[in-house]
Amino acid sequence: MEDNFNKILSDKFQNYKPPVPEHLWANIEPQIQKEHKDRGGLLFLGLSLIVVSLMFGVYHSQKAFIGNVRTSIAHNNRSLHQSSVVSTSSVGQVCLSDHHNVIAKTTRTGKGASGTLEKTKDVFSNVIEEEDEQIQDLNPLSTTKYTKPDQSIVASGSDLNHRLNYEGETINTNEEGILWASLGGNYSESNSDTHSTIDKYGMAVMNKTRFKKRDPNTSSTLTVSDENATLFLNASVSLNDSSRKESEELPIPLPSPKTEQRTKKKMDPDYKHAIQLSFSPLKVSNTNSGVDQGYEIAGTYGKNFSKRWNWSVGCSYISMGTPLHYEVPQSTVMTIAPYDPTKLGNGNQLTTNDSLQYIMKTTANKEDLALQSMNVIGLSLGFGYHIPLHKKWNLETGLTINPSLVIKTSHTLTNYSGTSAYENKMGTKGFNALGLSSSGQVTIAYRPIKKAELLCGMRINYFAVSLHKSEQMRPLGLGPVFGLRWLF
Amino acid sequence: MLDKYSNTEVLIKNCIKQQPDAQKYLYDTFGSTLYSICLRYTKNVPDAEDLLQETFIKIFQNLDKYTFMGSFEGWLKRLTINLAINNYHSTRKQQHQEIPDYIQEPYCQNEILEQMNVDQIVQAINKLPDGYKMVLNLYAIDGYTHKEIAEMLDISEGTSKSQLSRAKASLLTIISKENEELTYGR
Repeated sequence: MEDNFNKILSDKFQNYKPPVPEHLWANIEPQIQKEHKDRGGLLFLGLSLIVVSLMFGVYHSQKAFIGNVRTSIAHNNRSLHQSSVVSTSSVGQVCLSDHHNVIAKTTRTGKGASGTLEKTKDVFSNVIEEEDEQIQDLNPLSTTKYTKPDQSIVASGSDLNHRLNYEGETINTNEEGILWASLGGNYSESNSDTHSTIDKYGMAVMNKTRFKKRDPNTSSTLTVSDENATLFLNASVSLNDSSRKESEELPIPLPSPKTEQRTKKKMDPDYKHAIQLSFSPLKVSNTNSGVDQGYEIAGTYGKNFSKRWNWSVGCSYISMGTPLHYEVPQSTVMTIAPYDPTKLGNGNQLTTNDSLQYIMKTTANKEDLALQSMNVIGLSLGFGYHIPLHKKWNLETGLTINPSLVIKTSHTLTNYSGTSAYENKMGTKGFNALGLSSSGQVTIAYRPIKKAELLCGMRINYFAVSLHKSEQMRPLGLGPVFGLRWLF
Repeated sequence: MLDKYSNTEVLIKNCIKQQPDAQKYLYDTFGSTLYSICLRYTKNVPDAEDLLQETFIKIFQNLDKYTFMGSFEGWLKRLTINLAINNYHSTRKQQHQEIPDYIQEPYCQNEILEQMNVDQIVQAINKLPDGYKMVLNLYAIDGYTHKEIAEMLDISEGTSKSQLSRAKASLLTIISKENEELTYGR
């Protein structure tokens, strides 16, 4: 009996082909087109990163950052009693002193200057032939605003749950709410209120149209302009007006509003919010030789606003150290120490608020090295995009803008054995230390348990635009990023 | 267009290239078959339409993963059934499983089942509790083994067998009652 039962059932269903609901295609097609566009999203983001990096690169070639003193110094003589040639390719200010007596100073605002420093004893003079370069404040961030055409549909009446599929049909309402419409084919929309006409072409598109309560006499007509086209309006309306009458029996069966709600629910990711902690060892390069080393710790809160996209906000802390290098023989190493007016007595000429003014001086120990470190806190605002690779794996990419504030800089002199010889902690002066950086990262996220993800990837930072006269920002950083994310 | 897409490989490749006419052709060609599965695995027509819509979105997302090994229709059917099972798992926890009060020894024979048309059988299947319906569909109609069903539904083989037995009894009881009502009037 059992076999017979199974056979009857399978035979019955073998050739069972119920008519396929045609109206579903209008829901499916926009979804798969949207998927196609989403795939383009990653390409767009990648290209954006490249373009932004290139633009910042161009920007940086025009304007180096004041204060990143990486001065190459070549001596004609070991003694500064004779002429010394100083060449530098960075922007900054360098002063030479002999046993605390200022003998020469370079004052530069450009890049690529070179010249000769002449010993002037107590007389302060600068005889460097400068190549004064005009710093062009290029703004690489230009935005293009797109204005969407007004697609409001305004009508009167309560016949909202209605489907238009023939020419000249009019939908009317005087109520306020959100109108979801699936529009297929070529059509034109005219609004008697504004007398504007919007032509749309192409295959089915999904429109979310918000309309406001207006004069009941106002009406709008959706007209099929192509007799072969199918135009229909699935009006699943959420209304603020409680007096709305229930719609009458529909002339044509519609996909249930439940269908769209469920579809939307299924398209959403399985979590909405995330808190993330990340750690990123950084190597930050400058235009000159040398690589800064440091790390970044960041905490962010993120929220999905669509199936693939999310925004995030958080804060970060960056610590970087900058060994300063000099192209001089070890036996003639001069050290560089931060400018400290209190130690220079009457060095009136050097009294300046520029926190990155350096004094070059000879010291008794000619093997000292200098280390400049910097600590920055910042806010981060960003958005990200992810592609599910597998059940537990995601490929993610993100772009972040970080307004930042340098909270502390310090300069430490150490000898080659690493013993600290001198340390000067320098505060910052409010808005002078404000900066703006951008970062992009590509990560792989692995979800070992339902509510947590592990992240691993690469991160590129561009310490770009100073809001004021920031001296501490480095141009480009690259490093791995590791993180932990809680989902809820 | 019919000639153009009579070759399934061409059809699939054009769908992967996002060509609308190919996508529509695939929907028209296989929609009916998949819709019949959706109707069996869901409670009502709106749910079946939901499932069909979700299925086609998944199909178009994953077409590039089809390896051209085996029947394309079979691949589509498996994908549909897998989605139905996923939906079953996601809704199972939320729903209180009603214990039917009509489980009794079936007093109708398979002949009555044979006389009924498919739509009536679908309606009767839809009156079964979800667990019964899943096992019945998978075993009796789609030809899965109890071992496979146990893995898919995360139950034991014994449970699968007992649920099938109860599902059959319930289905025959429902059909008998409906047949009785039709014969003797309400």
